Amino acid sequence: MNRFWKLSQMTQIIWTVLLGLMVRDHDSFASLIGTFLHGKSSSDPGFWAWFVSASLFLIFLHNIYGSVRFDQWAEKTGYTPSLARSLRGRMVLSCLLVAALIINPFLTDHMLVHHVYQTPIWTHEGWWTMFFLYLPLIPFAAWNLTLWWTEADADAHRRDDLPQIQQISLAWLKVDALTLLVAMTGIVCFLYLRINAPMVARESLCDLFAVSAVVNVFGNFLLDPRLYFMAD
Amino acid sequence: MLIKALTIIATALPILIYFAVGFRRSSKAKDVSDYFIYSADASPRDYANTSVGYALQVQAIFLFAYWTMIYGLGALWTPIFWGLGFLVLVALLARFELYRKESRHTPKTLHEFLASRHSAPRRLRILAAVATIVGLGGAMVVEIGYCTQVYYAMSIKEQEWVQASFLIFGAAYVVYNGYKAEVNAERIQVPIAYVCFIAILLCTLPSIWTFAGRHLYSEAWYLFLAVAILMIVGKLQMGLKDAVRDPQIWIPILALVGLLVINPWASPVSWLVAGHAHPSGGIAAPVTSQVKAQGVIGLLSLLLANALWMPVDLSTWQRLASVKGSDDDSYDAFQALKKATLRVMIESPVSWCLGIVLGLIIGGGGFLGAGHDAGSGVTDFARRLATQSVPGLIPHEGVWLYLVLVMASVAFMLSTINPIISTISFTAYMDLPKDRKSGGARRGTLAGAKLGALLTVVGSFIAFYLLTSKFGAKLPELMYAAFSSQLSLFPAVIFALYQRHCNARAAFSSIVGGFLGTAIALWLALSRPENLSLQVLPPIFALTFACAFYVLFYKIRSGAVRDGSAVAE
Repeated sequence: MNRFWKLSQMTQIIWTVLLGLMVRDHDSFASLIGTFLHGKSSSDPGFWAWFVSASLFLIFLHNIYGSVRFDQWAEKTGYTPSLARSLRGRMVLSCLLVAALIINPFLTDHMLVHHVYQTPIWTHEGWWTMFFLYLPLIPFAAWNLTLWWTEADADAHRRDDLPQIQQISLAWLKVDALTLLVAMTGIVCFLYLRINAPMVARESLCDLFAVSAVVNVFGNFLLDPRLYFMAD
Repeated sequence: MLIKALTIIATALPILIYFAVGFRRSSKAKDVSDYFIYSADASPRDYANTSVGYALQVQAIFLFAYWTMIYGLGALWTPIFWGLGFLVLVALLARFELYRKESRHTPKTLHEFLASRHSAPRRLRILAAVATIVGLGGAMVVEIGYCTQVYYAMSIKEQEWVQASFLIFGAAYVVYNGYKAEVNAERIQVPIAYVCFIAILLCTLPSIWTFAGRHLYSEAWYLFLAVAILMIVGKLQMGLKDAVRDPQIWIPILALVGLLVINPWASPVSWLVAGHAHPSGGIAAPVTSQVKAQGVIGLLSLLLANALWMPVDLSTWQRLASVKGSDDDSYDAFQALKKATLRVMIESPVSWCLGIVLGLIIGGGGFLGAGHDAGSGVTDFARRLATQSVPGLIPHEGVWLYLVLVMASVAFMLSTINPIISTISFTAYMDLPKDRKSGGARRGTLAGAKLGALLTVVGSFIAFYLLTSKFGAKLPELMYAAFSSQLSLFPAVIFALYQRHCNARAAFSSIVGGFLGTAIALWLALSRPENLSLQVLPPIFALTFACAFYVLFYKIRSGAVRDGSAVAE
C-alpha cells in the first residue's frame, strides 16, 4: 500500500472521530436550523430542520463509506492516480486530501453552531447558511473532477469484474452535476423570494439542500453500484 | 448652434481620418483570408494594438466611471479580473497553436474548430455561432448607445441619426476591407482615444482638489500615476527595442509629465473646470467598504465573466489567427505572441482604470448635478464641459474640452465596434451558410464576405431598434445576458483546446444548458427589478449550467472502455 492510501486511511479515522463529535452537537444544530427557518426559537425545530441535520450525517457517512470502498477498489485493481506520477500531481493530491480532511460536515456544524448563529439568527439573510451547508460537497467535487480530467487515457488497472476508473469518476461527477443543478434551483427560489417572502426563501434554501444531499448520496449508489456494493 | 456645428465636426473629423486609413490601398483585402484574418500576416504589435482597442470601450469607461461614483475604488476589481482573463489566455496560448496552424491558409472560426474537435454535426457549429452573434451583437449596440450619452449634453434630439451615422460611416471601411482595414484603423484610433481622453482627465483632475479636498485628489492622482506607469510597463513586455520604436509609448510618458506638471498647480487652477457639489456615495465611504461594495455574488459574477472570457470570444480567436506565424512553428514566433499577450494583459485592464479616474473626477470634482443619479454622471460631465467657460485657456467658450471628449468617445466606440462587426461577419459568413461546411472559405468569394458584413451591420441596426422600442430601459439587462450567454461555450471550448473528453452530445447539451441558465437568470432579473443583485447573475448561471450539462450528457463508449481506452462517443 502506498503512502497515498495510508494517508487516506488516516483521514477516514479522523472523520470517524469528527462524526462522533457531530452527533454530540446534533440537538443544538437542529434547534438552531429550526430557529433560522422559523425566525424564532422553538422547542420543536420542525421536520425540515431535522431533515437538514440528518442530511449532513448522510453526507458524512457516505463520504466515509465511499472512501473506504474506493480504497478497497484501488487495492484490488492496483490503481494509483495518474497524478501521483508527477511532483505537481502529488502536490495537488495532497492539497485535495487536506481539503477533504478539513472541509467536512463537522466543519459546517461547528461553524454554524459556534460562529454564524452566535449573532441573532433573524439578522441572517441565508448566504452563510447556504455556503456552509454546501461546503462539504466541494472538496469531493474537486476530487472527482480532477480524477476525471486526469484519467482520460487507457485504463491500466482494468479488471473486467470491477468498474474502471473512468466510469467511477464520471458517475461521481454526474451526481455532482445533478446536485449542482438542484442547488441552483434552490438559489433561484431563494433569490426570487428573499425580498417579498424571506422566511419562505430560507425554507426553500434548506429544503433544497436536503434534497441535494439525498440526490448526491443515493445518486452515487444508483449510478455506481459495482463500486459501493462490490464483493470483499 | 455653433457648439452643435463644432460637435458634428469633432465627430466627423476623426471618422474621416479612419475612413482614409480604412480605404487606402494598403488596407485593401485581396481575398477572403485577407478580409477576415489579414492573411495571418499581422504583427504581434498589431495584435496587441487591436486587442487593447477592442477592450477600450465607451461602455467600459463610462460604466467604470459610474461604478466608481457608487462603489468607489471597488470598481478596480473588474480591471483586475480582466487582467486575470489575459493570464488565462497566456496559460492557454500553447493550446491555440493547433488552431493557428490550421487557420494559417484557410480562415477558421472558433465554432468550426469546436465542431471538428468534438466530431459534431453542423448544428453544434451553428448553435455556437448564434451564441457569438447574439452576444457580440448585443455588446455592439450597447456600445453605440453608451457613446451617444455624450451627445445628450448638447440636447441633440436626433439620437437615432447619430447612432445610424456611427454604424454607416464607422463601419463602412470594415465592411469594404474587413479585418485588414480594422487593424490599420486601430493604429490611429487607439492613440487618438488615449491622447484625447488623457488630456481631458489631466485638465479636469485639479477640480477634485477644490470640491473634495486634497485626500481624494491624491487618491485620483496616484491612481492616474500608476495607470501611466503600468502602461509603460505593459509596452515594455514586448522588449525595450519594440517599445522605443512604438510611437504610442509617448502617450503614457506625456501623461506622466502632465501629472507632474499639474500637481503643484492643482490647488490654484482647480477652479478652471469645476463643478458645484461635494462628493457623496461610494467615493466618500472608507476604502475598506468600497472594496466590498459590490458584494460576493457580484464579484464572483464579474470574476467569471472577465477571467473566462478570452477562450469563448471569437474576436480573440480571430486576432490570434491573424498573427504572423512560421511554417516550421518556430519558438520565436510563439514567444513574440506571448509577449504581445502579456503586454495586453497589463495595458488593457490599466486602460479601464482611466474610467475609474474619470469616475473620481465626476464624483469628487462636483460634476454630478445636484440631486442627479450617478447614472447621469457622464452626461452631466459632458454638459458641464460643453457649457462652462474656461478662462485663461481659450477665449470665449471653453467648449474645446467637450469636443475632445466627443473625439475620444467616438474613437473608443469605433475601436470596439469595428472588431465586433468584423468578428460577427466572420462567423456569419463562415459558419452559417451550408456550403462552407468543410474548407468552404476557399470556395467563398470576397464579394460574398462583404455582403455578409453589410447584412451584419444592417441586421444589428434593425435588431437594436426593435429591441429598444420593445424593451427600452431593460435593454442593458438583455444585452448583458446575451453577452454572458457566450460563456455557455466555455466547457466545450476548454475540452476542445485540450482535446480531452470531446463529445458532440455533451458539447451541444452544454451550450443549450448555458442558454437555459442565462434565460433563468434573465427572467429573475426582469421579474425582480427591485433586487439589483439579480442583474449580475447571468454569467454564474450560464457557466454552471453549461458545465453541469456537459458532464450529465457526456457518455463513454462502453466498447471503448472494454478495449482499454476511454474514447467518447
